[in-house]
Amino acid sequence: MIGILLLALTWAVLVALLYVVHRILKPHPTAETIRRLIFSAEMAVLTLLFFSFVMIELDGIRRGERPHTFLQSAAELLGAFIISLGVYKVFSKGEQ
Amino acid sequence: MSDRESSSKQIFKSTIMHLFMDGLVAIAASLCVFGVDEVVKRLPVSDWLVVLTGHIERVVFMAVITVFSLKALAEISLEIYGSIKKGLSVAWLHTKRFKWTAASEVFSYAVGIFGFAFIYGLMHRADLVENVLAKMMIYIAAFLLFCEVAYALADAVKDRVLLSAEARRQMLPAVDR
Repeated sequence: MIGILLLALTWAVLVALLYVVHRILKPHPTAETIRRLIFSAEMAVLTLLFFSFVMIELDGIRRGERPHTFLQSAAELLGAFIISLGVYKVFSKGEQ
Repeated sequence: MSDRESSSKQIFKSTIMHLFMDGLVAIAASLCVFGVDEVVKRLPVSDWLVVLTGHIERVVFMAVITVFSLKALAEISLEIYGSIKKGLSVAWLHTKRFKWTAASEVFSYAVGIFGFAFIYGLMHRADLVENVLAKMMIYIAAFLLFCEVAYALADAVKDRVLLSAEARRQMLPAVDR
C-alpha cells in the first residue's frame, strides 16, 4: 500500500511540477520555436518517464520479484497511462 | 551629480534587498526540511520515514545550492551583457514594481528548488533501476526537466533585468548618456 501511495505521489509531484513550470514559462507570442521546444520537452519527459515506468513494471512482473499482484501492477500502469494522456490533453490546448 | 549619488544609493539598497530575499528563500527551504527531519527523528515513527526525510533533506540542500548557483551565474552573465550594452542594472527597480517582481521571483526560485529536488530524486531512483534502457530513459527525462527548470529560472532573472533597464531609462535618462 505504501509503495502505491509513493508511486501516486511521484506522478502527482511530476504533473504538478510540469504544470507550474508550464504556467511560469510564458514565451513571447512571436517566439514560436521556444514555445514548441518547451512543449516538446515536456511531452518527451512525460513519455520517457511513462515508458521507463512500464519497463520497470514489466521487468518486475517477469522476474516475479514484485510484492504486488498482477492486477495491482495493471492498475498502476493504467493510472500512469491515464495521467499521461490527461496531461497531454491539457498541455496540447492551443498548441495545435 | 546628486542624481548619480542617489541612484547609486538606490542600486545598493535594491541589491541588498535582493540578496536578503535570496538568503531568506534559501534559509526557509533549508530550515523547513531540516526541521521536518529533526521532528521525524524524535517521533516514534517507522525507520523508513526517518530514512525518507533524511534523503529529502539532502536532496533539497543540493537543489538550493543548484538554484542559487544558476541564479548567480545568470545574473553575472546578464550584468556583463548589461555593462557591454550599457543601461542595464540588475538592482534597479521602481519601488512599486519591486514588490511584485520580488514575489514572482521568490515563487520562481521556490519552484526551481522543488524542481531540482525532484530531478535529484529521479536520478537517485534511476541509480536503483537495473534495466539499462529504463535507466537511460530516466536520465534523459531528468536532463530535459533540468533544462526546463533552468530556463524558467533564467527567464525570471531576465524579466527582472529587463524591467530594471526600463525603469532606469524612465527614472534617470541623463545617467545613461
